[in-house]
Amino acid sequence: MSDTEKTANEVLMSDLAAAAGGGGGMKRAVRMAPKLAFRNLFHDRLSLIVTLTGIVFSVVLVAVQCGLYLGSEQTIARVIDQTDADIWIVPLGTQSFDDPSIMPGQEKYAALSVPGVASVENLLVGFSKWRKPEGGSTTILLVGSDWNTGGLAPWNLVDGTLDDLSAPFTVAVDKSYFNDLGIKKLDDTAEINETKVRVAAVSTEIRSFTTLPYVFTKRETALALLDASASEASYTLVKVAPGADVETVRADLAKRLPDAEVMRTAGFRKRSLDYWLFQTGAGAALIAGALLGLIVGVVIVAQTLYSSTKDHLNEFATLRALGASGSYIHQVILLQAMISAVIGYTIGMLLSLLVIWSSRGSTLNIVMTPGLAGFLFAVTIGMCAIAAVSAIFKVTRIDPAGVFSR
Amino acid sequence: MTNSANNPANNTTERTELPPILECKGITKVFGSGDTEIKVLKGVDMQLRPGELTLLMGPSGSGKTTLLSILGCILSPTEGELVINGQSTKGRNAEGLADLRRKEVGFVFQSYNLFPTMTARENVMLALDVRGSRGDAIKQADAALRAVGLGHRLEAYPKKLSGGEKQRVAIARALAGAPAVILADEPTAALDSENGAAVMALLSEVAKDPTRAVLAVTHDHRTLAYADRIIRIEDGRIVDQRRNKDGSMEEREIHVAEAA
Repeated sequence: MSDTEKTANEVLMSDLAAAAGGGGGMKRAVRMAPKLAFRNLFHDRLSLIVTLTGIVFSVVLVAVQCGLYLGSEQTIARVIDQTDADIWIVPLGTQSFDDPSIMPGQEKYAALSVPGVASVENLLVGFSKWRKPEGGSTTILLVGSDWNTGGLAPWNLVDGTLDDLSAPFTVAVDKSYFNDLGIKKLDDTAEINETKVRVAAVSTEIRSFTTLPYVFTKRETALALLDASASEASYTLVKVAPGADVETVRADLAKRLPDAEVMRTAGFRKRSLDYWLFQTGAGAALIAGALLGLIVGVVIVAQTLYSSTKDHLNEFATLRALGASGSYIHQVILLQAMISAVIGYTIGMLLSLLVIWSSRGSTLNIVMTPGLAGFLFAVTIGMCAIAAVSAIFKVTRIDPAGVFSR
Repeated sequence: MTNSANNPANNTTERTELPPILECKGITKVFGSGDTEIKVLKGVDMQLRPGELTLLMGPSGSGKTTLLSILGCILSPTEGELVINGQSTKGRNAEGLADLRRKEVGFVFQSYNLFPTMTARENVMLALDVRGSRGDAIKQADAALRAVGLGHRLEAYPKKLSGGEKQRVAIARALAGAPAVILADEPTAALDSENGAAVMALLSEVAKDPTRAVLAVTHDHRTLAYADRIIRIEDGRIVDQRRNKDGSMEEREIHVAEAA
């Protein structure tokens, strides 16, 4: 109490006056609400760990589910996206590319006679039996196309070339299906529908949503392997001439081909996605998984924030007694939630990226895009804000008079 | 306790009475309703004058804490009016009361109520932030802590402070933002006699500011010597209000008054 030799008031008044004058220096505005939020959060490390575990679990689960959803979209539509066709002519009732049947064969010539059509290419796609070199068999989806004239060529080749596939009875398979197909390397041989074929090219990241391996070959080989006639096709791809209206051409084709469906590429893509993601329930399961992750996250964060708020109730009551507005106290709690969200999101995203990195090369296609990362950040912030509501309700009911005579 | 050489209340004899900073008229507070209705305050009239340290004394259950809550704009009276620095609490909702409390009232609590995760300086800065105080918060906080003799403990956390030091931080926090009224709830109850005396001496010094009034609720008769005015409350009514003109009001007198 040495300072009280002068009166405390004199010291106080002179010090406060000096402080208010700022000493000519730059005045620092210090916001204490973020500091209080941060300290409250880090004061109880165990609670913080539980909160972060909840958020991280939620972020990883939602990231993986959404990544699988996007990956599924990409996988389902990849073959369609890989062509440069404007219009697809498909058998009536076709649900997706992976649901092929055979059209009679006059579609190509009918299409060529329509004004505005630049080129037409037939694709032959069919389920086939693949006999493994060391015994056993599996079902594959054989895709036959003449890519030199605008069909569908295998992409992402890591071994062999498209030219290598010009030889009869050569095929391209994806590396991720080596185990399923019972092969180990380029030039290995197997049988398709009891005819010997040789692996002349290997691709990467060409996966099918159905898990049946795509096996690419030239159309002539496919005709032979599927025992189809030269004019038969599963899909007819139409390229519209520059300047021609795609919708007009599509409508014209639809009139001329009443036994087939004529769709713009985007329409066929959407139909394929709708079928696999929603009609089969696969997408709904992924969305349900993501929602479950969100709910678990909200519950864990809400519980720990509520518990933390209860632990600091006396401090919030003191703040209220000091004159803090309701919004000031809400701000502290929301900031606690936001700090948790940012830390949890960062750890969760790192773990998600690790999961995605680990899954590369497998048949599981998990995708992370900047858009999904941004969406997940917004969801995490929203989740933590919702979780803060129960804590806010708790402090709203604080009686500041409780700070007296404890 | 009434050593006149050290008694700060001695200075009050030469003071002229200034208009009150805080005034309450006919304050009534009723809790519950019907059969469970309890009338805790029954028409309290009192004033706090600037430059004075007033003690509010009374037995347990007399309504001291309720009155303190009303004077501090934490509770609204059921009837009556409270005016602080010319501003009435009438018609104010919870946020309106918080606004008045923020601007005009500083609190010192029995259990200090410091934020354990914040240093002494940060505890004062937090109060400044809540009050929306402008200027350099660090300098103001340091100034307030120096004024209570804690210039050397700025970075100390509450758990590293003694009880007396904690209460001085609480007083510095109450002073931050220069409120017109400081209300202290049993400020010496958790302290030994030496620290209790130091805290009362400090509150007495703080009360000398002619723009501020200090009220302390206390059971501690050792604090009487520091009072400029003593108010006694019993059963929700003010039963005695007297000026401690020469700081000589003896503990015995209070016991006699309480017995009466």
